[in-house]
Amino acid sequence: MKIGVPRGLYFYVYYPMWYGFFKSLGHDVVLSVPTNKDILNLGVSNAVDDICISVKVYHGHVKYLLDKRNVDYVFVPRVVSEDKYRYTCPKLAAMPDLIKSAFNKDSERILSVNMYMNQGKKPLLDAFGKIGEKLGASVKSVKKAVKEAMGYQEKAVKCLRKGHNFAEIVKNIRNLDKLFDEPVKERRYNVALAGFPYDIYDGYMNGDVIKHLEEANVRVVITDMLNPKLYKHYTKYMIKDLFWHQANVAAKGGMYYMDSKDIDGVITVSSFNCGIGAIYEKLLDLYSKETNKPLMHIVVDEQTGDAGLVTRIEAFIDLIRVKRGDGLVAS
Amino acid sequence: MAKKMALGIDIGSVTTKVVFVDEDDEVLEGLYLRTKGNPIITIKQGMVEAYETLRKKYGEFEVIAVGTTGSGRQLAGVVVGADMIKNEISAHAYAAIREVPDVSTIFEIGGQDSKIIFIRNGAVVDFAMNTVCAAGTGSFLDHQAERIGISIEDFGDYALRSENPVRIAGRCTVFAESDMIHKQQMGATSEDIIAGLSESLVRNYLNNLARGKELLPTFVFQGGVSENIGIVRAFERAVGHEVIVPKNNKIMGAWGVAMLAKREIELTGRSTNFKGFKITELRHDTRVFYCDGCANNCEVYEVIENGETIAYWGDRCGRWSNRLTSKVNTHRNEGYSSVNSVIPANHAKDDAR
Repeated sequence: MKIGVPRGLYFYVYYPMWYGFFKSLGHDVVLSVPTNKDILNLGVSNAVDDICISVKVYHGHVKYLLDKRNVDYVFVPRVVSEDKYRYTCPKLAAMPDLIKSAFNKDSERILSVNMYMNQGKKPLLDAFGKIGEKLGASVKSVKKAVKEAMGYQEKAVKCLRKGHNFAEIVKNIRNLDKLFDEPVKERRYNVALAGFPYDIYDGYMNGDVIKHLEEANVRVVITDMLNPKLYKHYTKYMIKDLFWHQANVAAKGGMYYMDSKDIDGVITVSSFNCGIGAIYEKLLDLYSKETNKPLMHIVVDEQTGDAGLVTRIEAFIDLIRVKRGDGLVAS
Repeated sequence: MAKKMALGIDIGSVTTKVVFVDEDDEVLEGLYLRTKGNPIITIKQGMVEAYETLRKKYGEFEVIAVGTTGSGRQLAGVVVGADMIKNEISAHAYAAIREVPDVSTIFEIGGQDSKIIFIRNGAVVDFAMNTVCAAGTGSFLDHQAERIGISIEDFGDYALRSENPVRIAGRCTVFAESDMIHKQQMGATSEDIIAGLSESLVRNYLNNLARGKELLPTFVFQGGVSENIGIVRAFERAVGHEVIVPKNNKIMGAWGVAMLAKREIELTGRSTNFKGFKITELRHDTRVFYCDGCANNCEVYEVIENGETIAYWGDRCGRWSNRLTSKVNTHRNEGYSSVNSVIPANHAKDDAR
């Protein structure tokens, strides 16, 4: 069978696992294309009004896959939590319901299950067991597939920890071992991106921030590359952890990078009406006062012109150049 | 010996600034022109005007470096042949630091955008630009002056005459306008309304851009709106400190990029890419088309000089912009850009456009 995986939201965190699972059961994984104007339009016209652009774009990716006749199912998981007592945004947790209501006619083709991540093997076996049942797989083959899925995810995490970004992981999903062995390119400057993976890695939506930085001789590190143990102690700056796991990654990971000597600056990427985005941005604002680390916020919305964005990125690079003593002109 | 000069061009959304500086970075000629929707014609008009004045004053002169900035910097850069294409934040900051060396906070308000730049020890440490909202910029003041029926040049004096500025909602210009109409109908004088408007503009600016950041003196206020004495006073009241309006307040971006281009040439030892004043006689056209290479359908902009394409931009993948890499060389990776000179062999007759 062909299983469609929309290129949005938790795809940018758990794709290796999903890929490994379906592959092991002998199904083909069909990805939607990277976000483009058509996907954006499909999303905006099919999603409810008052929701962040990232969720709207996700609708576009689902629709793209539903429109493909040969795709049997579109996988829209409900990621409930990503750690014990660490949940997801209510809109993300409602994803399957939003999708089924938006694409009522095709709700039979939406493959959905509740997923509890990073809490051991048991919840995964339960969740994937239900999907396996629907796809007609035996209990034994599901067990094997879950093992493989976890193997893929582990390898991907190893690559992230080494400094390869998730876009590279998606590209090299068939050969993560080889990616792991590849060296990470050093560059003159180091800039950290803090935010949700689905905002950071969607180049169409954020004006290719990673590409612009890399072209300016900047090595880009991202909060999802960090081992959570590294930033655990930053909870004390927030009184207590936030309930949403990804917001903790952005806030505490951002703080960790602000304290890192080799990081020249931190840029947050968030979508315009993200509630929790406003909170971690403010937390980082406050923390940047203590560390004196340059910080900039990029807020993504349904815009097409990225001139203002390029101006900001260029000015930010100028700022870190001057800070390093490189000056504004060629040296 | 011919006098050596550097040229700086700042193409903003509403106005275009053309500046010539001498070897000591002093402004010899600075023009402030309305862009009126056609930046290329405005640049040419400015260059012709400046050329004539400079010729009269100094005789023969030589342009040794050219820089462009502002939202139209890319376009201006390929048309004139720039040595440096620099974002407006860096250009504005550079000029402000030259003029007021101990500056800590720069307020800059132009036609359609506004920025705040934080400087410590002569270097930019933070900045912010207005994001989704263009409230509280020059265009809004223009529009309101017209509605009240006074000239924008008199706006500041009206504000100063007010004794009781009325409070106008500054969150959004649409609301500000309805608030203003309401206050007019209640019987507030034009003076009090204009003063209230100035205060709401400043409030809005500080709320949107400064967002709780530390505002330290020395303050410098530049950009077209800094001409407006009413806004200057409103800023002074808001920050509780004197706010300096530098002498080249309206042309700081162009001045800054002229100086930066000069440094660039001095440091690299390259010769300028400037195509010469003859470009004012060439025909330039721009064209927009939708690329059909992929589903992105990028809006691609094409700049044509005397029938020959000299630049493309707007494509995400580089399908078009890379075509001309042999001729137009944009060094984005070094944080600056330069464009090699591209002059067609046969100049078509003057086409007085």
